[in-house]
Amino acid sequence: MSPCLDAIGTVSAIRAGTTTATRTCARALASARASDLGCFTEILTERAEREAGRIDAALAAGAEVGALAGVPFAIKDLYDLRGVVTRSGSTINLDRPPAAADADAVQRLVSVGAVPVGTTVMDEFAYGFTTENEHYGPARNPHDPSRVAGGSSGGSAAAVAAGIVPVALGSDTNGSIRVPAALCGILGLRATSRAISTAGVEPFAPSFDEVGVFARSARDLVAVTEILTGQSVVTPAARSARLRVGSAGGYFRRGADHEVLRCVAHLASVIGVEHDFDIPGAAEARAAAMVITAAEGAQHHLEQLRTRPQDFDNMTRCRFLAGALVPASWYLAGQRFRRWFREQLLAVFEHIDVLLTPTVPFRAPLIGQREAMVDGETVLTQPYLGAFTQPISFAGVPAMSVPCGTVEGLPVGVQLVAAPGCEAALLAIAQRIEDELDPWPGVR
Amino acid sequence: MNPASTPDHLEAYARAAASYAQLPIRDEWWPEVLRHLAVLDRQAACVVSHPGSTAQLLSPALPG
Repeated sequence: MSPCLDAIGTVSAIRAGTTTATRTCARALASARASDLGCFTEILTERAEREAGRIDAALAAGAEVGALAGVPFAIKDLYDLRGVVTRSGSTINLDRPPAAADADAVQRLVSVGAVPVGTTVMDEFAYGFTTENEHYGPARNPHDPSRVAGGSSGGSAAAVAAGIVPVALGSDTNGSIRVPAALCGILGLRATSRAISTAGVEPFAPSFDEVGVFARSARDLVAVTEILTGQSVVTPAARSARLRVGSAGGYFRRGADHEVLRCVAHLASVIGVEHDFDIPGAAEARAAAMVITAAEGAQHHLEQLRTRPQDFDNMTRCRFLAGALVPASWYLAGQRFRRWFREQLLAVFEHIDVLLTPTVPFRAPLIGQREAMVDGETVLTQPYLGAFTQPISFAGVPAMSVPCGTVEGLPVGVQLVAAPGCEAALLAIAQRIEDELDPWPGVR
Repeated sequence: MNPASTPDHLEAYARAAASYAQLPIRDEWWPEVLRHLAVLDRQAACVVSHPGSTAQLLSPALPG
């Protein structure tokens, strides 16, 4: 089955009458069922057919339909969906009743006609960067199914990259949208802290938790982000041409695969990056993010860790237990450092509008691969995937990953970072990169 | 100051804290729990101590 159009193209086709919402969603449902990538935990056939039918009826009656009428989308399994148990990648949550209402972000997309077709596989309780979930299986990378899709929103990213759906919702605490977006070769945006409602989304580490979107075109990301934030994120063309882009040096150039750095450097030359900036304290920011995440994540699951630790995924259990033992002094030192680091990072945006870094230090690892070689040193694959995303989310600024090339058939992503509230600048540069590199020919 | 500066100190702290917190950590899980905690110990140690009020941190001025 050929990949679907992007969301904007899908809406245009439905409005032009060349297809219908029902046919579009039936195609997405069939693709989801046929896929062997392990993207989905549950396929929402009945709801999708019902909502698509309602949109077609409204169009036939000449009624107004929303901006995403008939666009199928997938949802990470930690968003509440009415009538569905929110598993969060766990079997522990199967004891819960089905959600009474959709999460806010889902409601917003449904209110403009988008159609939820399935919930997607994730690392248990979002604690991971690879989506190797022992309960629901790994999400496989569409570019090489023997490799991980990245995590923790790996099922959503793989579903978009495989062309099953044009857009999907994920969540990003330390990089869980940007990492899988990079490894799967798609776009993924984490907005400014609290710009998008997280109501109805199971928390992981509330200091850093944000929800966001995956897409295969910048215009889709603009459309969905505007719906989710309720604000315009379009940059006028004249302003877009004047946006200043800088490249992160120092920490963000060390400890990355040379081929990844080469791709990012090539992109920097293509879009005319002129200045390098060192971000002081980036390594410490990552360290503090890990401590805060461990402590907050464990706190959220403390009762389950006391009463049924044997039911956790083997990949997450000991991390949560260790987090439950973090002393308050470690946690508070991390939070104090956060304010200082945020000030250092914001100072960079007095000189530039968008900062560019590699998203991930290496290409997608093999499923089950525990170690990788970087710069002659052995690193643990799972935590190291977040080396460049964690310092950024630590500061609460908006960031996204955009595909910037491939090495031996595997995608490489570049991370774009902006000052709080400046999603429009990110999306304008993402559009410029897409125009230059065209990573998804034919999707628009 | 971190409660543990050596692996022995860390393990002693972890076992006491787990007992107090009523965390039923099985014998076979302990090596992995201690490995993760040792990583967090190192991470915490590399965060430079910055002065400032924690109350400020939790104000609306800093999201989260």
